Amino acid sequence: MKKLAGLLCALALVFGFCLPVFADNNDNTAKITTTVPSTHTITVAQADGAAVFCNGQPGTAFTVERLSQPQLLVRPDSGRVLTRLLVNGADVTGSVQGGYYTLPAVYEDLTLQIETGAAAPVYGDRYIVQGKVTRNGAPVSGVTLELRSTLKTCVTGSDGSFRFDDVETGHHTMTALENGKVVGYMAFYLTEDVTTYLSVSGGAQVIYVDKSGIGVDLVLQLEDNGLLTPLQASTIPAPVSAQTPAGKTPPTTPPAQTTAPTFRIPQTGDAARPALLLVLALCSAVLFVVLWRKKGKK
Amino acid sequence: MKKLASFVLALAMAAVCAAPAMADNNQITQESDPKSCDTTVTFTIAPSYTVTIPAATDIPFNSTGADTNLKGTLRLDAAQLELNHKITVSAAVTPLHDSAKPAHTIPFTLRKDGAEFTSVEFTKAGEEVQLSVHIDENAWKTVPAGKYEGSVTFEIRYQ
Repeated sequence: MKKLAGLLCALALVFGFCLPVFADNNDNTAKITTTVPSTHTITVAQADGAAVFCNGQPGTAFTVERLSQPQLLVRPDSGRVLTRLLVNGADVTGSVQGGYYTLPAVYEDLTLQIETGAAAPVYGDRYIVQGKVTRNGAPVSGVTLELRSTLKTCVTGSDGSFRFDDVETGHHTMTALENGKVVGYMAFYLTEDVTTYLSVSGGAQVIYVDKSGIGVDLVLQLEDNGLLTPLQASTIPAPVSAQTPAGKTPPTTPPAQTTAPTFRIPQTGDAARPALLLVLALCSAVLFVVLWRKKGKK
Repeated sequence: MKKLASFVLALAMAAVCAAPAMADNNQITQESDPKSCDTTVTFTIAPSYTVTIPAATDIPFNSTGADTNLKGTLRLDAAQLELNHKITVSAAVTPLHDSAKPAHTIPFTLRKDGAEFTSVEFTKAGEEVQLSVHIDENAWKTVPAGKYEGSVTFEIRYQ
């Protein structure tokens, strides 16, 4: 009986206890979280007439580290030039230098839109473009050079030398690749003149080639910023023999023209000048004879 | 020993036993005139309320729009407030910080209807406000990658 009473008392006490219950987050705090990604995507949404490289690698979508400053290269196709580069809708064409645009620190996904237009036509002969590729003054061998408009490729020799034959006057791009990565780029016009020299016009390199020669000899410098800069240019003189030099189209061949021809004013030293002088001399002789006869009759 | 245990248990039971409460001392007898009596019944309701705060919220990267709303509202529920009394809820924020790199932080503010939120006063049950997190556009642009965590602490006062 006592045991039973003790058990009942114990049960009564157990059920009589109050257990404290606390609210879920009794510290009145709400947690806020966010994740900042470590990479962002650069997508080429539109690239009419151009190829895009990011940090030297070609593609249409690139993954870059957050807050990095990747270098974009826009290489227009043959006969075309870059007219507009939009990054997330903002026009940055004015910041493109030598085909390159270095993005400010990337903090979000980006979309590129590229527009190109036809390059200004340049008419003339075909020439040899040769020279040496250097880096910090030393020749660089094993660099693949791609010359466009019509794609021509060569690999630099042990002394950094290269050579392209039959290069037409006009707009070109030259891309230097090492192990498949772009390490140098140059857009340039090859234009005839009475001497060989280098110039820059409208942001593009212009290589003037002496048309009395058969080509131009260049010294190209690979810059750290990815530019391929011509440092020197000299004429490759025509050989003394009457034979057509290797690499140059015979002068009887009319210059290649892709669009409507342009007019050209004869200049000093042109072949047209002796013919003009001959015509003038003939006219003068005829006039002299006519006047002489009239004088004789009188 | 058994006696002692029984004694202790008996005392415990006696302590938890409900003691009957008698009315004060108003009695009506045959001699009472009139034969009626007043009893004062006092019913005291202690003020009570429940304030519901927003739940943990993950803010999508680079968001500045409606997707920065905190999950749930700040709401007053089941409130029995005394006359001319109110519940004031204020909030204090701890900036988002990268636990791996504590120097990396993202400051933020709380907003209510586009304006900065500091506190709100509730006077009756059912009142609520939707709060949102505002992170400045420039903060998103410059903050390094990582997982960030911050908090909002709500202080509740009954006045």
